[in-house]
Amino acid sequence: MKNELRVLRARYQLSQADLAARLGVSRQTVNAIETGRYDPSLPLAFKIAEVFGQPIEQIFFPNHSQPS
Amino acid sequence: MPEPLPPSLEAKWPLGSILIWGTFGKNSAEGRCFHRRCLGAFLFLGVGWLASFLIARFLLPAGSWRNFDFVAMYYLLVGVAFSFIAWAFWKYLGELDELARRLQLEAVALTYLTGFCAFGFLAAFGYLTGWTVNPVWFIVLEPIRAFWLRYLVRRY
Repeated sequence: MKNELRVLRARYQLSQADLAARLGVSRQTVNAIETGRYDPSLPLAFKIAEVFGQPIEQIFFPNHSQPS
Repeated sequence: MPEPLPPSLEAKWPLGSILIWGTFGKNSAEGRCFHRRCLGAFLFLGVGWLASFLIARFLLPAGSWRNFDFVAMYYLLVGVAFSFIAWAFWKYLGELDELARRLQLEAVALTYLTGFCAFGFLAAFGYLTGWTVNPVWFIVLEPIRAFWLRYLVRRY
């Protein structure tokens, strides 16, 4: 999956550590999601969507498509 | 081949802690707790062994202490200490976030498979040479787990 996490994080001026603290995960996990090396679980994806106030499909999308 | 990441996007895993302790360090509450419990288990092991020696030496009737089986006592204490460490590791896994837990469980699975293969070969070797593997050598699996963990974190 691709994601818009890096863009959103920059928009909200959050560091990886800040976002990790809000999500209750490690900074390495945020890094791995952001770089597309790890696909988060559904509960974590919902949590990310909640932090940025956007629906999941606007943050995460399949490799072959663009954000809606 | 994927492009190298800029330094700001590198994951920076605690490699020292991974290789030495097989954990993700003591920066988190769960990491500190696990390290503290392991230290407690090793202290118990040391103190228990020393205490059993002193009790046998000074409290048992004269002469009988030489018959006291220290090796059996030592192994018994190893069993108790490592049972506690196993429980602490289980609790530690439960406290980790999803990626860290996945990495730890993958490392444990790969260690199990490595041990499975290694002990199979050792059985053949032991049969041919008459050498018996002391079960306490299971401790060697711990650095193997650390190695697998180090290998796995490279993907992230």
